[in-house]
Amino acid sequence: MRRWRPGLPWLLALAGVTVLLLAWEAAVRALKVPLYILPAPTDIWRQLGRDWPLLLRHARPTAIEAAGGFAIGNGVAIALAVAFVHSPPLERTLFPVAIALRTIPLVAITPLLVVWLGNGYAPKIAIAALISFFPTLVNMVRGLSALDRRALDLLRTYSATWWQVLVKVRLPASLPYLFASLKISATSAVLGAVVAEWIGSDRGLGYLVVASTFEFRIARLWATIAVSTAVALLGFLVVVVAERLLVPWRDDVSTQP
Amino acid sequence: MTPPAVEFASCGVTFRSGAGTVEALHDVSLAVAPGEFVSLIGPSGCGKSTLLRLAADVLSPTSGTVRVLGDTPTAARRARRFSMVFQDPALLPWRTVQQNVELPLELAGRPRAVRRTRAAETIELVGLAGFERARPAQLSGGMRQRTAIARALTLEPSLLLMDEPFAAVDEITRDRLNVELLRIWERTRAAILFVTHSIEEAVYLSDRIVVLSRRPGRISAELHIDLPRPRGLEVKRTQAAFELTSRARVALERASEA
Repeated sequence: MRRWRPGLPWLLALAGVTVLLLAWEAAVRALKVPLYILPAPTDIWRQLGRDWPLLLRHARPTAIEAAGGFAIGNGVAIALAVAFVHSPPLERTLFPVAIALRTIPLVAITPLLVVWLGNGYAPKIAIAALISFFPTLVNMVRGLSALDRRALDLLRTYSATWWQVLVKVRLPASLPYLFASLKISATSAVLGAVVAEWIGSDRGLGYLVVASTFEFRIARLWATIAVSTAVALLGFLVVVVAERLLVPWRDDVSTQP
Repeated sequence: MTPPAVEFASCGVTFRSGAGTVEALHDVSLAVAPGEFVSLIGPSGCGKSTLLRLAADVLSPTSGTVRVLGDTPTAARRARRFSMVFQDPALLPWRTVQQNVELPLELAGRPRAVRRTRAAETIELVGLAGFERARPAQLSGGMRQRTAIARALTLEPSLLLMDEPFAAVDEITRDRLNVELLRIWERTRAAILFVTHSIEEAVYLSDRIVVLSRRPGRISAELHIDLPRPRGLEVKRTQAAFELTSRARVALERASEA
């Protein structure tokens, strides 16, 4: 029952990032790299200060799209995984479709989605959802099936209904698997939203990336990248904290049922 | 007259496998009286667990009939009149001891207040008072198995089916759990059908030992254990216990050859 505390792993991660930034700064200054090739971290920092209201205004829609896509993609994946575990024929029928969906290059279907869904939030949310969907589907099916014969025999002798097995045993048992994929999709949903904003969009961090590139504002481009990374990281941290709260037995591997 | 706690009448079980069929049990007839403690011993793979699974309604016999507390196994299971304990305690790691013990009551739809009282009673009975809020990972192997036994007792079953419950704990813990099990059995008066690999354990615990032969399992011998009760641990070291253990060993050797 360990309490959450910023222990050694966090300090090491912080040290890694710091060393990287320092090396970057030193290299840019020593080699006198021009700003348009690679700005130094301090240049990006200054740009962040200058562009802060602009960046914030564009970060909002991206965060909304990523969060919406994350919720929808994972929600559908969880529901479908439950259906798969309930009905193996359904799994055999639909799993290949899910894999086919996975192989579609998202950059290629973004224009189609804009044609179908307009240039508001909808196509961006759809891309973020598609990106979140597959890892969670795969992990959730594994997690829901991760019960051994003994546990199932036991539940049978207690005359547990299918619904009771699902709610009281299968779903809690699948949480560690679910969170493994939520951590992945928390960041990739942001990336999906950013990429979707490249096309047919007039707001969002993805739009700002494209606009800054066209206007040759390289420092602003980097500042936008930094904000996009921060949004993705924030999503990741929210998932990590949620996992600590909801799966406190995470480290009790020795007693998997 | 009260019906037997469990009654197997000419039971046979044949498993269909890829290559052909495997006969696991052949014409087994056995009755366990209400409140009786019967142990099953036999060579590995002789179908001891299969017999238990028949009573638990996890498996149906290919031939013959099974009655549990005068009913079909399915009816007895639905009425929640028996419980099972495995070698693996199969606790849910996200639940505390208390919550694990409450599980069968929850599945039976008992109200919260009843669950609380009942769980507290059985946790006390198995000697885990004070550990209600611990999670399985924080318990020793013996304590986990006690939790599993408490869980099995919450619905006040008339029959306990135990499949090598103490096979995974060390010898000292096993001795202690043996004493505890007898104490619990004397308090609850449930009949117990107990599968074990340990002859000593079977002699110490049982009213009767049933020896199954090599596959296909059939009953090859029965021994009545007339050691006086209540039995303290010192009973294991008495001359009478030694003699019964030797007789059971000979019966087991014969069953393994036949």
